[in-house]
Amino acid sequence: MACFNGITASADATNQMHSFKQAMREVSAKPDWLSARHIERQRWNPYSMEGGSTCAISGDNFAIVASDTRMTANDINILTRDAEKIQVLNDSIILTTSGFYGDVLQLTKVLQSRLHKYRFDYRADMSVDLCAELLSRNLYYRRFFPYYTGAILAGIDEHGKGAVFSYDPIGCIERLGYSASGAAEPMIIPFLDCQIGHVTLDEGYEKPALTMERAISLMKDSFRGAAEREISTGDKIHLVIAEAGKPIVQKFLPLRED
Amino acid sequence: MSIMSYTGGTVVAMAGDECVCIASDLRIGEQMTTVATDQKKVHKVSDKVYVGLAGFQSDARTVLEKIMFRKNLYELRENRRIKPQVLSEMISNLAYQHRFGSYFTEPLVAGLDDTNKPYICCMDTIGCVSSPRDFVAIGTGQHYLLGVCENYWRENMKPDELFEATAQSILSCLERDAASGWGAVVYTITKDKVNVATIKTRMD
Repeated sequence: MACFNGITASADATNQMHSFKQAMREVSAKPDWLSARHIERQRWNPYSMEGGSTCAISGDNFAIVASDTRMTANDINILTRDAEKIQVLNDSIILTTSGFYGDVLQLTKVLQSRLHKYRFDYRADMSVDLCAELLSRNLYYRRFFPYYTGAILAGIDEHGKGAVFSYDPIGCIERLGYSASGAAEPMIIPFLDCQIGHVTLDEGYEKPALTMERAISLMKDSFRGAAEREISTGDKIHLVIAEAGKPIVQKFLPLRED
Repeated sequence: MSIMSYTGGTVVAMAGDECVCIASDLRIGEQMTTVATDQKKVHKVSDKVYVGLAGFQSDARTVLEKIMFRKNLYELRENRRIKPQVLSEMISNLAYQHRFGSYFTEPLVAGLDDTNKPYICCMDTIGCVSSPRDFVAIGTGQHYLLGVCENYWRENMKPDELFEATAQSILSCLERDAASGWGAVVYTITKDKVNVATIKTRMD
C-alpha cells in the first residue's frame, strides 16, 4: 500500500513539474512587459540571402571576374535565372557582389554615384586602388547595420597590372591574386589554391604561368564544379574579362540549370 | 560550436579502375586547441576494406570497436571475408539502432569486393547510406573537398592517378580547413596490395 502511495505521489509531482515547466516556457516566450508589437519586431529580420557565387582572378596584365546568374529564395526556390551580380563601373573597375541582393543593388548604386561625382570633380576616371579604398570605407560606414554582401573589386591598376580586392561585409580589405565569395566559396577557393596558388606543390617544382587562357578555363572549371554540388549556383556564368589597354569584354556561358 | 566539429577531422575516398583511395588528416583537437597530431581517422577492417570515421572522435573509437566486433562475428559465422557492401550495411544497421541517441560520428567505407570492383560509401550519424560511383567526403572539410574532388575526379583512374587526385584534393582541403590538418595519410587499395603514404601538409 505504501508503495502504491509512493507511485501516486511521484506521478503527482511529475505532473506539477510539467505544468511548472510549461508555465516557464510560456512566460519566457511572451513576457508581460513585451507588447505584440515588440515581439513582432524581435522576430523581423532585415536580411535575406539570395545565394549565388562570384569569383575573380588577376594576372600580370589582366583580371577576370565571373559569377553565376541564379537568384534563389531559401536556397531552393529559383526567383530568376538571369540576375546579374557583376557591374562594370568604368573602363578599369569591375565590382562583383553576392549575398543579400537588396544590398548588392544598393551598394552598386552608391558606388556608381560616387564614381560619377569623382568624374565630375576631377575630369578623370577613378583608379581601381582608389575605388578599393572608397568601397572599404563605404562598407565600414555601415558598421552597425552592414550591407550583407561579400564584395570583390577587380580591375587593371595604374601600372597596367591585374588587381583583385576582397572584402568582408564590414569593409575589411585585402589585395589578393584570386578570390571567391558567396555560397560556393568553400568549393572554389581550395581549387584555386591548388591551381593558381600552387600550395600543394613542393618547392623546386616548375609552376605553370598564369596566362589569361588558363585563368579563363580555371574559372569555367571552378564554376562547373560548384554548380554540380551547390544548389544556389547555376544557370549561366557571367564572365567579364579586363585586359590592360583593351576594352572590357563580357560573355555569358551556359551552366547547369537544375 | 557543434559536437560534430568539436575534435575536427576529415576523411575522403575516391574510386578508380579496380582501385580505391581513402585518405584522412592526422589532427585531433578540442575545439581551437590541437591535442594530438598523429591520429588517423582511417582504420583497416579487412584486407581490402577500410573504414573512415569523422566527427566526434570519442564516439568514433566506440563505434570502431562495435564495427570490429560485428565484423569478427560475421567472419566467424559465415567463414568468409567481409565485402565492403556488407560492411556498410552492417554499420548502417548499427548506427540506426541508436536512432534516438546517436553516435556523433559519420562513417565512410571504401574497399574492393571479391571481383575487385571498387565500392565507396558514406553515411550520416544515423546510417543513411549514400554510395556514389565517384567520391565521398565527410568531416569538417567536407565542403572544401567536394568542390576540389569535383574537378579532379575522372572515370577509370589507375592507382597512381587516383592517388595523385586524392592527395591533391585532401591537401587543398587541409590548406583551408582549420579544424583538420597536421599531415595526411592516404591508403591506395589495389587488387594485390595496399599502399600507404603519409603526406606532409602545412603544420599549423
